[in-house]
Parts: sequence; C-alpha cells; structure tokens
Amino acid sequence: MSIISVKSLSKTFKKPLREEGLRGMIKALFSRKYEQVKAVDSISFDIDEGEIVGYIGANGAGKSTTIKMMCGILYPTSGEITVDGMDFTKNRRRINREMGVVFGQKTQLWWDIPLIETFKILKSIYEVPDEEYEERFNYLCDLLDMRPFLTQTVRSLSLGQRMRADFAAALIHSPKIVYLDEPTIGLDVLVKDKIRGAIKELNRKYNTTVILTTHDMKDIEELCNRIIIIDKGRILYDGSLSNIKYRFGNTKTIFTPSNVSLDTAALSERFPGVTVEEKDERYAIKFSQNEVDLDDMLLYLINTYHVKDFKIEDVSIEDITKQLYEKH
Amino acid sequence: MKSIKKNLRLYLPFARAGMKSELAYKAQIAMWMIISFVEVFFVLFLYEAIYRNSPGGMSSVINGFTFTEMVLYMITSFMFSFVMGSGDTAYNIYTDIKEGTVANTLTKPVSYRLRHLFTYLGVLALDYVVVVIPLGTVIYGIFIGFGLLKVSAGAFILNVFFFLIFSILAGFINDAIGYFVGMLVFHTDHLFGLNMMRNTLQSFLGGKMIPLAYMGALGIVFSYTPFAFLNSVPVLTIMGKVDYSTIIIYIFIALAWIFVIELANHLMFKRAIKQITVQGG
Amino acid sequence: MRYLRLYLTYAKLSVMSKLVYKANVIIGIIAFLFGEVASLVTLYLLVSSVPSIDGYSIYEIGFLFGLTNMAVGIDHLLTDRLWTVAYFEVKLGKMDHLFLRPLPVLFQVIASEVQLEAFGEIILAVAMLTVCGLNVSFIGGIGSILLVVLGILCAAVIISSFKILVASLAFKFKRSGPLLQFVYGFSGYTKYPLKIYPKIIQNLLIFVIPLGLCLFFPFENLFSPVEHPILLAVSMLLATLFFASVCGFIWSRMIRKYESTGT
Repeated sequence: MSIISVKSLSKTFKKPLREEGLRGMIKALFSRKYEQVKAVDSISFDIDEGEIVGYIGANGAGKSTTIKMMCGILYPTSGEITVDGMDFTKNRRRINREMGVVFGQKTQLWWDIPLIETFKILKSIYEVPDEEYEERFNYLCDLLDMRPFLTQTVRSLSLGQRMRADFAAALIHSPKIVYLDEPTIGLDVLVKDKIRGAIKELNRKYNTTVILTTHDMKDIEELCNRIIIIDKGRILYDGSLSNIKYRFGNTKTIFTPSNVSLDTAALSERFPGVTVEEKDERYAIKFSQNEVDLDDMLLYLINTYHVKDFKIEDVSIEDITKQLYEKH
Repeated sequence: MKSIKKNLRLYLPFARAGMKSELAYKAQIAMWMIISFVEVFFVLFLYEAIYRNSPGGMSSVINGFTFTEMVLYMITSFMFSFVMGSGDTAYNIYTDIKEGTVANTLTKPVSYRLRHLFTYLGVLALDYVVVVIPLGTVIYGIFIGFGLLKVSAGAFILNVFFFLIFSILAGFINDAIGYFVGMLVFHTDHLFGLNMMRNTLQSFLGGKMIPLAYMGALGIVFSYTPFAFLNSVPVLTIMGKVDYSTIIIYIFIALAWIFVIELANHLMFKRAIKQITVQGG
Repeated sequence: MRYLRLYLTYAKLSVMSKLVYKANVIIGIIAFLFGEVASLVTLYLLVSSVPSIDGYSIYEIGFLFGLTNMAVGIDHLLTDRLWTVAYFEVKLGKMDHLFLRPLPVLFQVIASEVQLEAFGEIILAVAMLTVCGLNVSFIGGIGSILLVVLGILCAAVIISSFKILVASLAFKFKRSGPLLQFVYGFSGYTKYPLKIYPKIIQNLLIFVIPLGLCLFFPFENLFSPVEHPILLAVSMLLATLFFASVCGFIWSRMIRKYESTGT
C-alpha cells in the first residue's frame, strides 16, 4: 500500500527576462517579459510505507523542487501528490502532522534560546500527549546523544550537535514519513554514522518511511533500498541501487602512488578493459567489477608491485547520472 | 598637486561604483519618489487647514511663510530630504562589519574613510543629475513662470549658485553623519534603531516636518546644527529666504561641522580598529 | 483556545529571544518614542500657531493623536514580522519551515514575533490619552468610551490586515517592502481630524480602508453623541471584519506562489 503517490507532477517557474541598461530597467517597470522554466516535468512514482528512498540528481536537476512540493512548501503547477490518502490543497495541516523534515542547510530550531525550549514548543504545535512525548524525547536523546547540550542556546551549538538536534526535532511527533535533504552535509564521520544509525533504527523499529536527497554515496549505500534519479526535471531511473550499479559497469577506481613503476601494458594484458590514468602524482586504475574481480586486482598489484598504499573509490552518483544522461 | 591627481585616480573608481549601484535601483526609486509626493499632498492639506483657521485666512503670513511659500517649501524639502536619504554609508559599514571584511580593507592602500566618502559622492552626483536638477527645474519653472515665486533672474541665479554650494556641503555632512552612525555599529548592531533616531533628528532639526521658523528662538539655535544643513538651509536658500551675509556665516559653520564630525569619526575609527585587532574582525 | 495557548508559547519564546539582546530592545524603544515625540511636537507647533483647527482644540487633537498611536502601537507590537516577510523572507526563501507545521502560515508569522520596540509608541499613546483626556470635556458616558476602545482595536486590526495584504504581494513580486513602507505611512494621517481632508480622501478612509470610520467616528461621538451608538459599533465591526477577510483571502492565495528560492 503506497503511502505517497505522485502523479504527473510539474512545476514551472517564471523567470523575468532582464534587459541591459537604464532603458531596460525603465521598461521593466511597465512590462516584463517572462521565460518559463520547467523545474519538474511531469514525474510520477509511488512510495510504500517503510521504504527508504534516495532521491538523487545534480544541483538544479529539480530534486529540491520535488521534495519541496512533497512537503507542501511549493504549490505544484500541475499534477497531484497524495500522502496517506490526503492531498495538500485540502489537508495541508493534517499531512504536516504525518511528516518530519530536515533541511541540512537551514535549521528549524529557535536560534537564541535553549534547545530544550524548541522541543517544548514542538510538543504543543503537534499536540503530542505528555506520556508519548516523554518516551519519544528520552528515546531520541539517547539515540542521538543530545543530553550534554539540551540547555545550551542553539546558536552556541556546533554544526554536528545542531544537525542531531534538528533531526530529533523533526522526529519528536513520531511522523510516518521523514524527508531528509542533505542530512549529513558538512558533518564529520562520527556524526554521519550516528545519523545514519538513527535513520536505520527508526525505519526498523517504527517502519518509518524515509526519503532522502544526498550527494554522499555512502548515505545511499548504507540506507537506501531504492533510488530515484532525476535530471532536468525528469526521472532517469527508479529502482534498486545494485541494479543500476551493475548496469553501469559497477566501476571501481584504485588509486596508487606513481612511484610504483606501473607497467600499463602488462596490466591491460592481464586485465582487459582496464584503463590507467596518471594524474596528480598517482595512478588511477579504473575497471568494471562485472569483468574484473576486485580481489584479483588487489592481489596482483600487491604481489607484482608491492603496493602498500591504496585508495579505492566507488562509482559516484555524478558519474552514473552523467552516463545515464548520455544514454538517453 | 600631483598627489591630488594620484588620489583622484585611486578613489574615482569608488565614486563610479557608487553611481552604478545607485543606478541599479534608480528606476525603482524614482517611481517611489513620485509616489512619495502623494505624501506631500497630505501634509499640505494639514497646512491648508492651519491657514484656513488662522485669523487672516488663506492670505495670512504665518511665521514668515505665505501659503504658497509653504507649498514650495514642503515640495522642495521632500525632494531634498529624499536625496539626502539615499546612498547609505552607515549601512555599507554595517555590512562590512557583519561580513567581517573591515579587517581586510585595512590591509589595502586605500583609506577606509575616503573609500566610503567617494562611493557616496558618486551616489549623490547621480541623484543630482537624475532627480534634483530635472525635478527642481520643473518645480521652480512652474512657480516662477506662474508668478507664484517672485524673484529677479539675477537673484535667482545667485540663489541657485549658493544652493549648489550648500548641496555639496550637505553631501559632506550627510556622509560624515552616516559614517558616525557606522562607527556606532561597532558598539551595537541595532542599525535600524540608530538610523531611525538619525532620521528623526534629520527631519525634525532639519525642518522637514515643520519649518524651523515655527520653533521660535529654539528654531534659530537649531538652524546652526548640522542637521539644518541637510534640509532647512539649502531649501530656504534657493527660495531666497536667507540674506547673503547669513549665507556666508552658514558656509563657515558648515565647514566647522564637517571638521568636528570628521575629527570624531577619526577618533572613533582608531578605537574601533584597536578592538578589531585585539578581538579579530 | 488551542491557538491562544500556542500563541502564548510562541510569544514567550519571541520575548525570550529578544531579551538576549537587551541593549537593542532599549535602543529600539527609545528610537520609536523619540520619533513619535518629534511628530507630536510638530503637531503642537502647527496647531498652536492658530486658535483652533476646524473647531478642535489642541487637547482634542492631541487625544486623537493618542488614539491613532495606540492602534499603530498595538499593530507594531503584534505583527512586526510582516516587514521582514515583505523585505527579505520571501525573496531569500526563508519561510520554508512555516509551511511544514500543522498551523496556518499567517498564524506563525504573527505569533513568532512580539516587537517590544512598540512600547515606544504605546507609552506615548498612554501619556497622550491621559493628559489630553483630562483636559477635554466629554459628553458621552461609559458606552462612548467603550466605543473608543473598540475603535482602537478595530483600527489595529485594519492596519495589520493592510500590512498582511501588502506583504503578501511579495509572494508574487519577490519584494514588497518599499510598497509596504509607502502605504504604512498613511496610517499616520488619521492622526488628524478627518474633516481637514477633501471629501474623496474622507470617503476613502471611511468606506475603503475603514480606519477613519473606526478612529474618527468614536472620537467624535465623545463630544457629540450619535443617535444609534450600537449601529456605529456594528458597522465598525462589520467593516473591519470585511476588510480583514478580504486581506486574509488574498494572503491565502498569494502564499501558493512562494518559490523558496535562495537555497
């Protein structure tokens, strides 16, 4: 049973066309010409309860616009969004009760006052019963390790602390759906792990539906069982992560220092289809896991060249999107 | 002489930048200015009521103004105060402080004070070309053409000449005050409140809300404050209501004020820099 | 009831936030007090240069000044965030989180800011109403005083509604601050007796923007009681309600155009 249903959703922005110079400015006072920009172009998908979906695309691909329409911030130009059987034009406030939102870039906490006050006011806004609030609040405090800074003002928190608090604030009313827009941006590894752990735990324990946008491949690998890739306002791919990785060669890149005198010819003879680039004083050895086994490659490099210093990189979302786009 | 030329070459780009930034808003601002004239009409209804209710009726002279003169005074005041309200040095300094760029500007071989002054002079020059000169010509053309303002050609040219001198002095004083407010922002970040007090002083002591002549002896005292030079003095001058010996005295007083305020600015800036270099800006 | 409780919670947090910067609050109050005193002195100087204005004594005009200032002060105290909406928040896309709460956006805009600086205006208004009130001879009884109180409240609602209307234009045009500044300036002109204005402006202030109706008519009623004060009260309420609903409706349409840009 799908909890969110998006049907041929579009959003068009009007962008004023400006003419140069004073004459243009004066003309603009009286009549303005507009250019129509289609940020989201007739997209449709359904999301089931309990799914964790990665919503992915380059900057300006239309991903924030979609998420903002799904949260009720933006009003669609056409198409419809149904959340739990309700639609925004009639039931915005009821839908809002069912969802929690975290925007990595913008905080929703009350800036100049102690953090705890934000939670108290959210309790009244969402009408959370006392008992339920106590339980949930304590649970989130432990999960996100918030007790040490509950009485500090929000402006005095570090980015990591603030992000955890923002995350907890979005969850205090036990929403069925959680939207996370770049939830781990700018955070250190420990905090990232903490947030990812919390997302997984919530999904497992409460069957919370999660929709997240991110540039961090690791977020997606660890969390999402489904990804939707969007570009230029249209959906390019909707399915599992492993599937698309396989389709696009499942590329891995191994970086080694360039002081290991690598014999490129021998390497490509041993492993056909491998490309080697020398750049920034290191070799980038790129190959498809569909053709070459990672372990074989590593063993070969260690045994033949005694390489001790490796860096292994997965295919990036940007690469996949780029390739997808070229195919279309 | 050579150093002046060199300095001009250094600072003129700031003036040009000031003009450009003002030009970017000018079309909108010009529209607001026209609408602001509606506000003058409301004020004039009030004055009309005052004249109507005075014992001598509409033809009375109240505090040295006939009703026609009052109309001209209010229109000129609104135009002049409008120009004195733009190109905000205080706001520019506020932005510098907020964005933490004050310390950066200190490392450049450009005086912080002169940089802001020239930016403002650029704004002011543009305002004169775009607003004051065309609009003033129309207004005074109408008043003189219809015989509402009786003045000989020679006298009017002299009035305009002194008006322009006072305009330049007003520009310097306005920027000095703006810079002074900017220096206060180092101590409190409530620019909105500071600016509001400044505007109140400017429109009350400058005779924009009501001519200083209505204030009796106090009005004479007020006419020597720096704020009087931002409205009352130049407006009365172009209307020919100030005699030449007083004009000369006013010019010296204006210069003295510029000196005093700039001295205060200099001292406050020195203090502020100490603060920056100690705390980091 | 729920909204009242929520309002108080929001308001408490706003006051707490404001008091973190006490110096700013004090500067703000002084700035507004100062501005209003200057406009009061101007009025005094003007009016005292003639025996009376259209039959109104200086104290009566001062009393009317106090009434308007009270309405302006109440609006300022309660709806100040509309200024930042009109100037910045829409343009910079800073209102996202307001759309995420199960509360009306307008409620949040209004509840989330209590502007203590308004006390600059309110203090002066109270002083004016007291001093001038003691020096004018009222004819009307307690009913006419209640009518004045109702008038102040209606006027505050009308000013706020007008601000809501103009601020909501920002959703369409990105920024409506300068326009708001311009129209807001006109609330100051009800400080003077309506009769000094030409008929067309009088009618505008009675029938279109009913500020004149709610401030000036109850004021007049203090000296020359109308025949049916209830009728006046009802028409004030209806006019205010109608005006506020129109503005509220336009706001609710305009927020659909919010673009959340600036990210």
